[in-house]
Amino acid sequence: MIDGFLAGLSAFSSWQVMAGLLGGVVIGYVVGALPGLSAGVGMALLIPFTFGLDPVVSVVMLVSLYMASEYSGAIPAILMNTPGEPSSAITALDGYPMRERGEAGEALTLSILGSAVGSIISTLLLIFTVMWMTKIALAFGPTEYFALAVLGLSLISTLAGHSILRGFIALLFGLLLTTVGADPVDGVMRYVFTDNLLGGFPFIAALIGLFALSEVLRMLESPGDRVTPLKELPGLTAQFGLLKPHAGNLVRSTFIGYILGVIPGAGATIASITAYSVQKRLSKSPETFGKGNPEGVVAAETANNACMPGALAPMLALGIPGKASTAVLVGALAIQGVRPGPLIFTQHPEIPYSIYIALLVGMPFMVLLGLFGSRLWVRLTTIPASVVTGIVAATCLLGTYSESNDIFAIGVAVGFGIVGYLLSKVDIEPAPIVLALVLGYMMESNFRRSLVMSGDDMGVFLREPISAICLVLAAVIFVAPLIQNLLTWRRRRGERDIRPGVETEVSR
Amino acid sequence: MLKFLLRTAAIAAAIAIMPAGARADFPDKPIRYLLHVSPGGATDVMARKLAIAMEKILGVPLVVENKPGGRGATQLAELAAAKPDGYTIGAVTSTHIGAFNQTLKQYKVDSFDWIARLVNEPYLIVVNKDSKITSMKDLVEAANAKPGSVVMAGFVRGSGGHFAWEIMAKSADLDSKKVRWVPFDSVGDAVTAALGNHAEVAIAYVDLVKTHVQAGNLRVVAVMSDKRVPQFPDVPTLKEQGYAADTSWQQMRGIIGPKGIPEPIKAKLAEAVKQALETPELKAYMEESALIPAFQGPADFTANAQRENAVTKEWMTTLGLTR
Repeated sequence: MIDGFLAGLSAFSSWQVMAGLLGGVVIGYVVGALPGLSAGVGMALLIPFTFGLDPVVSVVMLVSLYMASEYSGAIPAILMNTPGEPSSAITALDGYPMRERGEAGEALTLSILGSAVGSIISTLLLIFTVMWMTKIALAFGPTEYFALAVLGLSLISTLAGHSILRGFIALLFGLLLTTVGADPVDGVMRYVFTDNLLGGFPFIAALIGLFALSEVLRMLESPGDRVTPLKELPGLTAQFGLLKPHAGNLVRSTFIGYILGVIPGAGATIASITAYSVQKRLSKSPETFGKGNPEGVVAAETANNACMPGALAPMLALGIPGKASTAVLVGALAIQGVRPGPLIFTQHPEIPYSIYIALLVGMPFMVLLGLFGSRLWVRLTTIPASVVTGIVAATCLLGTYSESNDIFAIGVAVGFGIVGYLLSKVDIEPAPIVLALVLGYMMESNFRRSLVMSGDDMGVFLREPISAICLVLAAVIFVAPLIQNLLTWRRRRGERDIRPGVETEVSR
Repeated sequence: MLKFLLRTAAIAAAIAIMPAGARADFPDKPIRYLLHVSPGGATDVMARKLAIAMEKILGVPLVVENKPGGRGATQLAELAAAKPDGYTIGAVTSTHIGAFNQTLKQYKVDSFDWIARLVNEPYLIVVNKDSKITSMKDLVEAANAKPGSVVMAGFVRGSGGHFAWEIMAKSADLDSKKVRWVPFDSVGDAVTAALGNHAEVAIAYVDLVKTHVQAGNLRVVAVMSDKRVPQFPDVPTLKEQGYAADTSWQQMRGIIGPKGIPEPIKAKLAEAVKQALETPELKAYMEESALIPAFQGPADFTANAQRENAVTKEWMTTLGLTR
């Protein structure tokens, strides 16, 4: 290990590697902030330029790009309710209401500091547990993935804003959408009216539509010169102090993010959702979640950045790319003749260790960029909405196109934008739809696979220990709020009997 | 003045009616190279390596464009609509031929010009290190002894790997239904399932399992090739194990273009591919990735695609996968 570190450190004495690191951070910062242009696409765009580079320079640049874009997705999420990365959709739930209150600076500060803590602790975890984590990654087969997806879906009860019923409607609508495409086992066509839908609705396009474009439509309703207030940020040291009340949240969210990152089929979005839900349960003021509670921003951003080093564990030690971004990393290394996998630590130790060092050295730079950036970015909120909507719509559509180079994706984004707008008119929020879009396919395909493997024996889900634990947890999480609801409802009804005329709403 | 105009018009007309192939200056602008995959995978990496090598030979840039989506539909639609002038080409694999018979029936082998085959990749069977199966014979016996007890992971039903298994099972007189074929979203996912012992057996390629075999986590049972592969010199071929399976069924990769590219242009592209495959960079890459160089020019490649299509069609019908 010490040898590896020395090899990695000596690589960082070359100016090319440092240039790659700084370049990667800056490019990643921009890529992440552009809605629709995800980390994976940004890295892929950079690949042709890495051909002539040294393998270490290339991998350091790509990893720092990946790291930076996982953070900067929060910027448009907070400022414009437009997630720059899929996982920052959860950041927007509380980040955007904070901005509307004029707390954009605080939200941005919390997101960068939370990201930094998550990323650094998670990198340390990666360094010391990478080999051990491969066992967790491999423990997940179809049965376990199905149960994990169910557990994820059960979190709907915390994600659904003020009405569980509406959350349910949104969730089922989302699940319905995931049935579009060729079915995962027999390839039967379902609602495939055009070949572009063979693989289902493109996820990024749908996400952009539901969040960003529907928000653009909403903004068009109000007068164009509407400007939100902006509270001044404190000085730099006081800015760091903002993180103080969130210590427990940071540790929990980091841990959740890291473990879910390790599991190849999970990912940053699921990590954010889980950390957010857990924080909401443990919070002293769960009712303010979704209305601009800083805890939500910290949980979501810490978890999605902690996820990234986690995802590197199966990629490095097993050569398994769990998601699009790590798949690009595997490809970039393959171009250089380096194969991630069980032998990388003996054959090319400089690669994993230079990744570790890049993550640790790159983060402080990222924080500086983020903190100064946040002072600059908040000025955006003082621009009249009429200008902002135009810019948001244009960048969103451009980003959506860049993901697949396919004009069809733009149509999907616009379509989902209109749907999202109409749903918002009846108070149905997009977050549960996104949850379903992320987990629907995972749940269905692994359910089918498990049954093929077991010969149509449903009992397998309860016999496999990981699967059984996840399903029981899901049942508890799902049923608990319903019971809680029922109790509050009863109590309130009791209160209403005493004080007639007080309007109450069935809420959690 | 009039004379000048007439002369210009005549020259312009002559250029316009001249068959495109007669223009000795092909190529004089960048060539678009459309892929059906996202960046980063094996097909993408190979295509980018090839593009770099071909650039040096042809003297114009080859611009790799990723057009994933719709299981090849996005790429093929754009390719089919492009002008057949040699400036738009696309990557093709055996998976495309499978799609012509299943999800993308509007296309046939005849819908495109087959320019050149690049490489072949043999299929192989691997098992988890804890499995008792060590040979094809063990596998067949285990399946016969307790039907359904052997779980095999692979790519979707109707994929090249699925047919490879069917061909192997047929050569062993094994009813393939006795083995549970579990379709995964990619061959890589199937290998992961075997690594985690969720499936005892997987059908994959040399490159995907090489390091896992070296590390002792997976074991190769049989390679579908007429010669032993250099990466696993100790693994006997199917024939050596006594099974006469058709080993010509391998995963191929090649280049196609829209229908109607003039012959001279096709020949020039194919020649560039041939030279590119012989550059040290690509040779090293192919060896590293366990890809077998298998260049074919337009005529041979077209015939080969037709043959592969016929085999695919037959298996689709036999297995009831045609809809």
